[in-house]
Amino acid sequence: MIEVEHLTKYYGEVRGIEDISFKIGKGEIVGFLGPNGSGKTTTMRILVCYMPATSGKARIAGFDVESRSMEVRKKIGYLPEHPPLYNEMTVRSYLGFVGRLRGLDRKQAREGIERVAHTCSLDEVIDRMIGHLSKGFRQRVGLAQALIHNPELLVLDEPTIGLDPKQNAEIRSLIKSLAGSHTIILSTHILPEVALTCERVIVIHQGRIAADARLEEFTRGQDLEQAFLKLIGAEELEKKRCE
Amino acid sequence: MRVIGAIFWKELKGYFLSPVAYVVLTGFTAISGWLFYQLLNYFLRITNIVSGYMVKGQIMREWTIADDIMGPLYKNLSLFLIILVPGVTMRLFSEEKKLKTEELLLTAPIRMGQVVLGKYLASVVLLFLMLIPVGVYMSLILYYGSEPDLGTVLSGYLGLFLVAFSLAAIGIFASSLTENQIIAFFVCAVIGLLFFSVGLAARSVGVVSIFSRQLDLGELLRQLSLFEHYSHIVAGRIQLTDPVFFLLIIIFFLFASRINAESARWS
Repeated sequence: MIEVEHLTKYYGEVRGIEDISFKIGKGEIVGFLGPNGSGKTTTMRILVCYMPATSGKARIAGFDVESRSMEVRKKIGYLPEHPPLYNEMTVRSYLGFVGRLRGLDRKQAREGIERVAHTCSLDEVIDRMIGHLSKGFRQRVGLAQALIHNPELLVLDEPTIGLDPKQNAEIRSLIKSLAGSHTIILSTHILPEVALTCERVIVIHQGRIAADARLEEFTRGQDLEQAFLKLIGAEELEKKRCE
Repeated sequence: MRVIGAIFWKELKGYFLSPVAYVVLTGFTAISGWLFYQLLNYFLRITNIVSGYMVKGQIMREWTIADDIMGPLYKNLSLFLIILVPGVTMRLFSEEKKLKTEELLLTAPIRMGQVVLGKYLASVVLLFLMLIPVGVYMSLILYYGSEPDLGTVLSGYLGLFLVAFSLAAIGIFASSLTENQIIAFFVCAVIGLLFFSVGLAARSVGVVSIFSRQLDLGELLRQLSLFEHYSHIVAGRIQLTDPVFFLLIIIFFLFASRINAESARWS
């Protein structure tokens, strides 16, 4: 589904990511794990054709993200870190709008709204204005927006950030329920979230891949937090703090 | 068309869901109505005293409805547009940047040109609605006035649309530059004022020689002046260059907006 080869992105002199390569198969749920500023968002933004890479190649469903960008964009549903919501629109008109942008005709858009309103439990707020919704609902509208055209690939940038534990659990179970029919990439710096939702972890640290393994292999005996901190070299820091 | 339509309806509804449309529509109707009334009143009073512009007891030029009511009305209203149009267009792209919704537009399978066009058409429709009352005044004049110069009165009205639509293109460009709506407002107003006033300098600069070639700088500035072209249209002396000038401004600034809107990718 996704093939990434030697992907590198520099923002002027500053390194975003360097030499990132991985492959993701159809129907996998993969977690991008890494501290803030490690390059998770950069990698995702290149995959969703938001911006071009400095060098390297990325293909989605066989289409190159740069030269066949339009085909790639049709196959992707993307939830950015800040959900792109228009506050003065109702949830229904917003989802319809995104559906039209995604290439649905009126009938398909209507069906899409019904479907995602159901999967994301938005039925009770469907005719409310987005500006009046709580953070949890806003996040779900953001997710619904990414699902409206039933994309093959879902890219979710920190989907649970800023939510309370209950909302967090809801979003997680929602993501899990989407597994199988969709390929999903999600990024997070919250460790338990990866353990609870993903089958595979790609750890990105300082713009490079520090680990890429199935969740069981990755943790093997130790808990996830230990494994993660060891990888990013924070163990020493932790010890010092304890002393 | 589907994408342009989606963007167009979203923006047009946005105008009417926020106070923008109502403020602009009532404001412009009030100002233009008052101005029309004053000009009409003055015209009636002065034509009762004397029938034309007099020098040394001789009438040099007769007062006419076209030149002395509608002409000044159109010219003054074009100046109000410099303030009103930026208010209409300032949020179109700035808000997308501020709320980070441009990420949605940039990752959807659409072209930025379609987005710019949809937004532009929405602002054009609002400005069209705004200028309708002026058409009502014009109809009153044409109906009740004695033998008004139909061509001149109509061409001035069309000129007003051209000015409004050109300023809208400039406004979209200004909005695509910044996430701050106030800055977008002033950038548009300043560019608009520049295009209006550049002709004023024409009188004081004549032919200059650059690299031993003669260049009529005054004429060049006159050709660049929006107000100069607009004055031709209001006076009923339309040349081909006048509509072409407005068309070029619209195309240029819409094209520049498209490039700007894509610029988020270049970071």
